[in-house]
Formats: sequence, structure tokens, C-alpha cells
Amino acid sequence: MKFSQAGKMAVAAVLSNKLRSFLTMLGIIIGVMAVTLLISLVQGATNTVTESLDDLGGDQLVVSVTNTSKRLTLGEVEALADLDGIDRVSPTLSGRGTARADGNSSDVSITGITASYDAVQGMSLASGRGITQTDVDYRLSICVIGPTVSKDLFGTNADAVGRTLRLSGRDYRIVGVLEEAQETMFGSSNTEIYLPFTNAQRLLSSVNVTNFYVSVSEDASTDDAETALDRAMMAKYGDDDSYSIVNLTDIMDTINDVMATMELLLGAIAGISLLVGGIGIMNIMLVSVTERTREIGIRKAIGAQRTDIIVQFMIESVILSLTGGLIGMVISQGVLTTINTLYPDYHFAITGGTASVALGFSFLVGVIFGIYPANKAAKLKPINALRYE
Amino acid sequence: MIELHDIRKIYQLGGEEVHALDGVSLTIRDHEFVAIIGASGSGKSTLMNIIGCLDTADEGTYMIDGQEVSDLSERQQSILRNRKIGFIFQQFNLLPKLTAYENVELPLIYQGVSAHERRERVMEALEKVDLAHRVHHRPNQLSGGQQQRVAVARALVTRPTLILADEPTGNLDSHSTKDIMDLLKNLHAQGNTLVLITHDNEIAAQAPRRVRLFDGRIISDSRQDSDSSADGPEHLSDPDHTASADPLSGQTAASENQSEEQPQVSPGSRESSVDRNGGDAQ
Repeated sequence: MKFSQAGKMAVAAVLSNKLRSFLTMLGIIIGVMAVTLLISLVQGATNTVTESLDDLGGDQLVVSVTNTSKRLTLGEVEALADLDGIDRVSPTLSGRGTARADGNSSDVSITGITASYDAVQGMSLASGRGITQTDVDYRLSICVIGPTVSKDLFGTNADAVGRTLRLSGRDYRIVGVLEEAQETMFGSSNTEIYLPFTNAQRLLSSVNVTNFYVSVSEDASTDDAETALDRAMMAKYGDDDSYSIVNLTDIMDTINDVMATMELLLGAIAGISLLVGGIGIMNIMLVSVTERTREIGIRKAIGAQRTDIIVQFMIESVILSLTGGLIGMVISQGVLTTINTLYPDYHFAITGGTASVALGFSFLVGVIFGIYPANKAAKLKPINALRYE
Repeated sequence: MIELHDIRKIYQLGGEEVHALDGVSLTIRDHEFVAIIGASGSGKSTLMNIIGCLDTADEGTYMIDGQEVSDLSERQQSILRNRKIGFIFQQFNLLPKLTAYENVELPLIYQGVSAHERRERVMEALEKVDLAHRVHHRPNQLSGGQQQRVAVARALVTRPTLILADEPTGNLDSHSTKDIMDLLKNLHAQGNTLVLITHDNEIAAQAPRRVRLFDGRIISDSRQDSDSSADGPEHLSDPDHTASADPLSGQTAASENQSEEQPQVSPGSRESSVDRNGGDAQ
């Protein structure tokens, strides 16, 4: 007998009892839905975290100096940019303060930066300009502010560029306003005020560079750059307790590892429901074999071989599990699309890998839980099967 | 050619051995029409199951066309059932969810016949049983007689060596019974080997050769002289003759048959068995 013929028989059998077939599939539908939904949600969350880190600069090194007795000057830091594998260096100086203007005030974080900050960290301006080398060289009292600061001080729709705000008794002219940034787990630039580095030194009464970001040359690996940087810092401080270098790529790798483990764990838990669905299929297939004992007897009497019967019942069980899997996947895609529509910040999707794993497993479930009933059907003796009432 | 030699089948019923078949030897030649008669419990169903390769004998040899059946694997027996035997059951045993056409097609599907050839042979078979107009009806949309005709078509579509009919008229009214019997006789006239299993002497009388079973043994094997003389070219050339003549002659044939059988059974004890047997059947 040809496979297509067995397929037709199996489809007819599945369709002949639609409600039962659907209820049987329900276990697989829910199982596949759970698997794809959970995996896709974890993957989506991982992507969001990775994107946040990327926004911070995926290929950069963050250096913090903890030894305050030994000065690290702006010039020394900028000289590090000449090291092999290092593209640019962006020193920062951070503090907190309250900005005032028009009788309004806003709590802000103050960051002194140089012109290379934009290249290393990235800065998207909604209006105005960023901080230039000239601003740093002449210690100009200008600032670039985050959108929240602008809103707090000047109202929602006002253009803050060209206006003035006060920080610790000094006036700063606003030259640029940042674009609204996405809130990340590391905070955002929305409540930030950026000053020229030299000006911030005076405002925050701090001369030393305490932090700086290093961007890695495109043709160099992050690890090589880290080694070169470490060597230079070691030469300056003599012991590695005085500073720390954080490799964002390492952090990202760690987070990805954790998320992958979580994905596997949740997938496995959801997989249990798939297993339960499979048992449901086996149960119904066994009932079906008993119910159709006479049919099997007739088929055998007119010449069906053992394999014909096995193939027919196996296809039936695989149809149930695969169709269930497909329906489950369509439903979870629907759920994900709904979430994406409601929360535009997220981009959840079922990847090709997830889809093939889910469908592969439903196929396997159909095969594994179909074997026993199919074999039971095939082993029936025609004489006994024909006598069955 | 069917050859059974000393076939025995023993069932265990509540610790007691029941000899369903107790040394049955029977040879059925090609193109023969044999009725196997017996009351319930006589072993005729067991015999039919063994002839049909649905069951195997505990002892004895059974050959189809020179092939020893007990030597065949399960798979080979399936193929043998598929190619050499056409079954007609009392319960019709059609698949309820398939149409008449699909039911007749099924054995050809298992045989691996191409779709085109299947179509031709199925239609040919359904035309033979005069059901070409009800091809797409399901069994529950057909009368009992029509269902049995579908079953006949299913039995003959594979062009089997042997058509095995187990009480084919047992569930039919008298009109349909006549239809089916005419059909079977027609098939025989066209050269098919036919084994008819029945408890009904009137039905059995329509067969030229009658084998009577009692308590698992053959107690008589008789040929009707008038029919066996006609069992040749006359039938082949004029199948209508059988169809029209037999219903009338059926009754007389049955009584003739009864008187004819008795002299063949020699021991007195068996003679009484035959009487009791006959009485049970009627």
C-alpha cells in the first residue's frame, strides 16, 4: 500500500470524529503553546537586555579608578588612545545636583564629558548640538540636557536650546537637548546634564579622572584592547587593586549564558505539558483501536498487512500531534503579536529554531505515543477482530 | 485448488477440550461450487476461518494451489488472503465510513494496484453486482441486499482463486436472498470457485456439491447429479438458465438432496445425527 493511501485513510479517520480529534489535540496545542511562548518570551527579554547593553556600547571597556591618591589627569587618559587596539577614550566625571530655571527645579545627574563621548558612547540629539573639543578646551559653561530635565524646567513642548539653567550657583547655556531614550535596567540619559569635562571638574571640585570609557578599534578584539589597557594602567599604579576594567562583552556573555539556561529550563518545564499531551494522544489512540477492532479485522481479512495497519494508525497519531503543534504555534504567535502591539518596546517573535524544535517535538510525541497503539492494532488476529462486537 | 488433510482444531473452554474440527479432509477443485452445511457448533465457521487463512489449524495440512499455508509467514498469509481469497460475510463487514466504491477499492489498495486500474476494476465489479448507480453511497444508505452485493463486488474485484461466503444470506429477506444466490451462481457459472457456508438446507441445495459437517467431522459429501451434469459449458454459455430455473427447482432439489444423502451415511448412529442436524437447521 502506498503511503499517500494510508495518509488518506488516516485523515478520514481523524475528520470522522472532529470533536474528539480536537480534544485530543488540545493537550499538544497547550504544550506547544507553552513551549513556544516561554522560549520566545525569554528570547525577547534576552534581546531587550542585550540591546540595552549595546546602547551602552557593546564593544567598550569601562575603567574606574579607585586609588584617589594617585592622580590620573585628563591628558594621561587621552594619551591611552594611542595604545594598540584602542580607538578612542572618553573620560567622564559624574556627580549629582539640582538644576533650576524659571522657578522650576529638577534633580539631575551631572556628567562631565569630552568631545569623544559621542563617538564612544553615542549621543542622539533631538535639537541643538553636542559638546565639542572647543567647549572642553575653553571650559565653557554650556550644557546638553536630557528630555526629562527639559520638561521639568521649561514645560513639555518648549525648546530649551538657547535658554539658561543654574547649577550650584553657576549659569549654563543649553546648547542641545537629547532625544527621549529608552529606559534600561541601567537607567537612562533622560535625567542627565552633560557638561564639558573641564567645566565639570570645577563644578564638582574634582580634578582627577575617576571613570573613562574606551572604545575598541574595529580591527582589534576587545580582549586584546583590555590587555593593552591593563598593562598601561598597571604601569601607572603598580597594583591591580587601584583600578578596575569592566568588559561589557563579558557581562553580555554572562547574561546570555544565564538567559540560555533559563530558556532551557522553562522550555523543559513546558515540555512536560507536551509529554502529557502525548499521553492523551496515546490514550485516545488506544480507545480508537478498541473501537475499531472490527474495522481492523475486516481490513486484515481483505489483505491488509501488519505494516499497513501500523502505518495507518501511526499517521493518524502524527496528524493529531503535528496539527496540534501547528495550532499551538499559531495561537502563541497571536499572543506574542498582541503583546507586541500593546507594548511597542518589546519585539517578541517565534524564531525559526523555536518553531522547528516545537514542531519536531510534537512530531516525536506523535510517533512515540502512536507506536504502542498502532502495534496493538496491527497485532490483532483477524479472526478475533472479526468476532469482536 | 484447495486441499485439506486431517485438519484438527481444539479450543479450551473452561478447562475442557472442544474439538471444533476433528480430522477434516476435503479437496475442492477449481471452478467448483461447494456448500458446507452444518448446524451451529458443527465446526463449519472454524473450517471457513481456516480455509480463509483467518485462523490456523492445530494439526493437519492445508494447501492452496499447492502452497502449504502453515509454512507461510503472517505477512505472506495477508498477501494470500488479499490475492487468492474473496470473503463474503453474513454481517456484510463493509467499512461503515467508506462509500460502496471505496469499500470495493480497499483490497486493491492493499494490493498496490495503480489508481487508474483500480477505477476500472472497481467499476467493473460494481457493474457485475448491478450497483453501478449507487457507487457513492455509504453502507447505511444501502439496503441489506445492496450491502451484500457491495461485499460480493469487494470479494471478486481481486479476481481471487476462491470466493468464500459465510452465511451470505443469513441477514437477508427472501427477495435479497434470491438476488444474492443468483449472483453467486452466476459467478460460479463464470468460472469462479465458490465455497458457501450455511446452516440452511434450502440454500445449500442450490450448490452442486454439498459437504455436511457434524461435531467437527464431515458426515457426508454429495454431488447433485442433475447439477453436476449441467456443471459445464451449458452454464457458461447460458448463465440466465441458472438464475431462472433454480428458485423453482430449489425446493425440489432440497428434498431430493435429503433423500440422496442418507444412503451415503452408513452407520445408523450417524443417520440419526443427520436427522437431528437437519432438524436444528430448520
